[in-house]
Amino acid sequence: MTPERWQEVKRLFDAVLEREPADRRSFLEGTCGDAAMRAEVTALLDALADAGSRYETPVVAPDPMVDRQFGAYRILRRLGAGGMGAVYLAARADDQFRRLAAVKAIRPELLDEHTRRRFENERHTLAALEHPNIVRLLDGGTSEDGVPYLVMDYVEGQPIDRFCREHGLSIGERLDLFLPLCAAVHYAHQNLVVHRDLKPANVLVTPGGVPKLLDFGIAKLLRPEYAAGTVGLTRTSAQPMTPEYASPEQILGQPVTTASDIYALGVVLFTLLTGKHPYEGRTNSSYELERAICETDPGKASEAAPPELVRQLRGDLDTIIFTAMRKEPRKRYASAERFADDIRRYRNGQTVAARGDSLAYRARKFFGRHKAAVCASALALVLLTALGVSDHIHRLRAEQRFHDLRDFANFTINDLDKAMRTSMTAAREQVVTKGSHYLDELAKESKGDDALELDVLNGYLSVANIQGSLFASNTGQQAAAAATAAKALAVAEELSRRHPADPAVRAMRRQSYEKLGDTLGSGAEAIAQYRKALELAAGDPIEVFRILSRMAHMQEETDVAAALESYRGCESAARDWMAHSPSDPKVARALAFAKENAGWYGLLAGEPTDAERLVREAIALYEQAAGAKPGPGSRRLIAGAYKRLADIGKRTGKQKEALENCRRSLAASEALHAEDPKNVLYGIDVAQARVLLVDLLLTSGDRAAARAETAAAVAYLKPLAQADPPNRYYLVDYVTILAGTPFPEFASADETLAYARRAVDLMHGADPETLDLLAQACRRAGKLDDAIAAEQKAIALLPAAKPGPVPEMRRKLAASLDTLGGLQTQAAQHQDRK
Amino acid sequence: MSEDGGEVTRLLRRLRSGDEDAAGKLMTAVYGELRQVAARAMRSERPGHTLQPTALVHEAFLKMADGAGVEWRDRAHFFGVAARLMREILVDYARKRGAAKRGSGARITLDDSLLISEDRLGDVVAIDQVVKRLEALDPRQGHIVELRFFGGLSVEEVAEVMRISTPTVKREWQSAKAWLHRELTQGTAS
Repeated sequence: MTPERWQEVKRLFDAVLEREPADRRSFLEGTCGDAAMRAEVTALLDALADAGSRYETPVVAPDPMVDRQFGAYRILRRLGAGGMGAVYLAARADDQFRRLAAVKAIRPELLDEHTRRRFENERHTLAALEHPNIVRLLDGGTSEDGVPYLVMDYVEGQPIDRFCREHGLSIGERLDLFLPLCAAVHYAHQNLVVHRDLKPANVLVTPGGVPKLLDFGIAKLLRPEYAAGTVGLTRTSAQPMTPEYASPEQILGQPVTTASDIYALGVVLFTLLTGKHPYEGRTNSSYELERAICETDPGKASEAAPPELVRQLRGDLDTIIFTAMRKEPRKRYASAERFADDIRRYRNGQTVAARGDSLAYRARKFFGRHKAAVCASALALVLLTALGVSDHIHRLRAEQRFHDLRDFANFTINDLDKAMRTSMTAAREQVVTKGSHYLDELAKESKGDDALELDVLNGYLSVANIQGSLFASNTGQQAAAAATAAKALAVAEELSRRHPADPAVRAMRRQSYEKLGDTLGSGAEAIAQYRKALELAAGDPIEVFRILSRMAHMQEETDVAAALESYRGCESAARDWMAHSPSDPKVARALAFAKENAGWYGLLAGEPTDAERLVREAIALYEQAAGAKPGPGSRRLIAGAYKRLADIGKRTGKQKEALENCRRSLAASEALHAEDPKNVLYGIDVAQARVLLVDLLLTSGDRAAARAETAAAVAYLKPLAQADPPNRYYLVDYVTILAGTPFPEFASADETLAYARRAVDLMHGADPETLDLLAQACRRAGKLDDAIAAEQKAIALLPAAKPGPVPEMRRKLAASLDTLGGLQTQAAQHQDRK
Repeated sequence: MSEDGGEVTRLLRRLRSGDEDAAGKLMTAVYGELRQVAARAMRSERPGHTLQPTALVHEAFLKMADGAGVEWRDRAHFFGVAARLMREILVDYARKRGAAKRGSGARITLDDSLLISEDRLGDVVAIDQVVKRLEALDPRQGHIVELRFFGGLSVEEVAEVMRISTPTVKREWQSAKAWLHRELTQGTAS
């Protein structure tokens, strides 16, 4: 496409976009006679719709709030904005574990002096609300510059309506997600807190499928005129924040009670099940909407729903929602718990309290139950039963079926978890919530009963695992997971006191420490737990390997020497593991992983002696593990390892092998690039391998081969380096070739210098590597003073020197400068002699 | 620090009054600082610190333009400059990261939304390539994408930096997004 053509396309595209979506096609047909142009514009319109918000999240976002301190919290980045102000992600400034929180900075104009005092008082009540489905208020206050703020737990999640839509949840799954909300609202009501602004946007669902209610009581905090019993308000000041979810009494400015939250829950449920608002399409203005809420019945959910859902919603669910949304507060469900009970009864196929008691109704239910028994999968039945487990525990015990129940608990918590690891995260979370409650109950009854305590311990570990281990696909509930792991550890210690030598108890203790390490995130605390786990794992290579690799991973970022030591430990554990079970398919990959990392971190830690052998052994194992038909991922891994091997060879003086490995890496990268030419990373791999190859050949002294490969590299890199706009890294690679080549036919000294200057400009004169290249190019062009200046500039840009081994780059640049200085002295002496 | 801060603040002011020469000077000054900040992050001298562009730019900004006296327009200009630099640094970083971390494969990203994931780095390289093509076709539009995507500037800030109207920015951003997405998903360059 030419720039001129693009301008035309763009003009037409803009004009079409200004039309209503329905008119766009006919407008396009009518205005544009050029079919190719029409196709172009249509494709762009489709692309725009498809792109959604993909490009709206910038890689870098400026925000004046970032880094500001609110109480003990420092702002990291903006999460979003709402009516009350913006919400930020923050971390405790004094917390080495980087505990995250959300800080809501409230628009100061929302609070006058009176409100502000009230704000201070009430937030303490709210901070006392502690429930797994309520986002906890941690702190609050007024910043130094007068911005009132609230600090709450940080929940990474989606609004519940979007979560349902994007995960394509069934009606049953949506109901299951809704039930914990009722429990949370009920809990708050029992603590005399009314939410007042329940709506899907205030319910976040974590990636693990746990719904969390936001902003409990905040509406009242910020707008005290909401408070029950306040009178004499003008209508505008009594306006609810979100009329769509407000109850008739809220709109009328009448006292707001717990029943108002029940109403809003009804609207939320309606929206979740149908995808529509109960009054959607019936009103055109907010005035009409408010009137409709106060005066007309909401539509039936079954009538608003898409056709395929009508049958499921008609009847019980219509009735349940209608009951929650009654105009008269006292005719609604008496509590959120009652509301939830009815939903649960519907889920179990039992009669719903809100329905009448007619014979026809009960007959339909009976039929439905039998059909369900025939059709439902075993898993669904198990789940349903699991959800009811804790309620029945005492009765079952009385019936002498306690052992059956225990087995069943083991099944749901352990086996079911395994089965669902890859799917149904929401269901898993349900089992966890129910399960951990059940376990707490069981723990109370199990004191002194070894077998039962082991079961409880096992259960806690599974629950902690689901709640948020660092490595499993997790629900991100780190704090909850750590708490559960601590409970597991307590039971394990108790058992261990009674049976210090029992291997099963020992293993469980080890797992508890490890789990605690996982959930503590990173840092010394986690490492300490791992070390305790390691002590107990002695003699079990698989476990030792697993624990050490986790530790090493944690150390990579902070302490290269410690990481090296851990990887060496991994290697020896993997070898023991292999001796123990040589045919285990995982062994080869584990050993390769350990070796490559031990080699690599050895090099980084300044101990390169074994690097080559280790990487070579890793390659063999990677190849063995990848099998007959390795995928592109494995192939890039292997190609990279060969190039690394070549690099190691170059540094350890093994020229011939380095060459061989480099060619091999190049061929592999070229093959990958040929299969997928659009993947720039493959292109870069090729360029880097070519540069290294030329470098190796020049050192080897094989001039003919060096010349041939230089020609090949130039042929590959020159067009890429000359591209306009210029591509920096290809240009740098190209200059590397030119500046180091002894063959004048590829570029004159002046030409090389021009390219080098261009590269330095592109790097804004601030990259030591390119400046070093410039120095080389200057030297070739006979400009010694310029060369020395460039080299000095390069060295000045290096990070400040630290005690210990001199980094490679500093050594290299210093050597170049030294050479240049020598040349300058020679030149000066030469001059003198003349 | 405050000496540099004064210099950057002065350059920003000159830039705002239309002094194009200031842009180049600012670029050089900011680039060096950004590189240093990024390099430190990449070497991970500080525990748990991985490349985190927003924080990096802020760190640089706080150090260079001694915070308080800078008004939002200057901040916008600073980020306008930083957008280009960050784009380059990110692409370099993606490349180096790819080379250095191969052995440990996909395991390196901690589950923390603060850190740039390997996937996102791949995105950065891909989008950088496509934006280059857009720049060839329509330099002004390419610049808008750079400011929005790599610099995180709002529509108003882009308008301020580029001295064009807000509706123009909005319009151009729409067609640019459409173009980008089509190129990235179908990739039929023409």
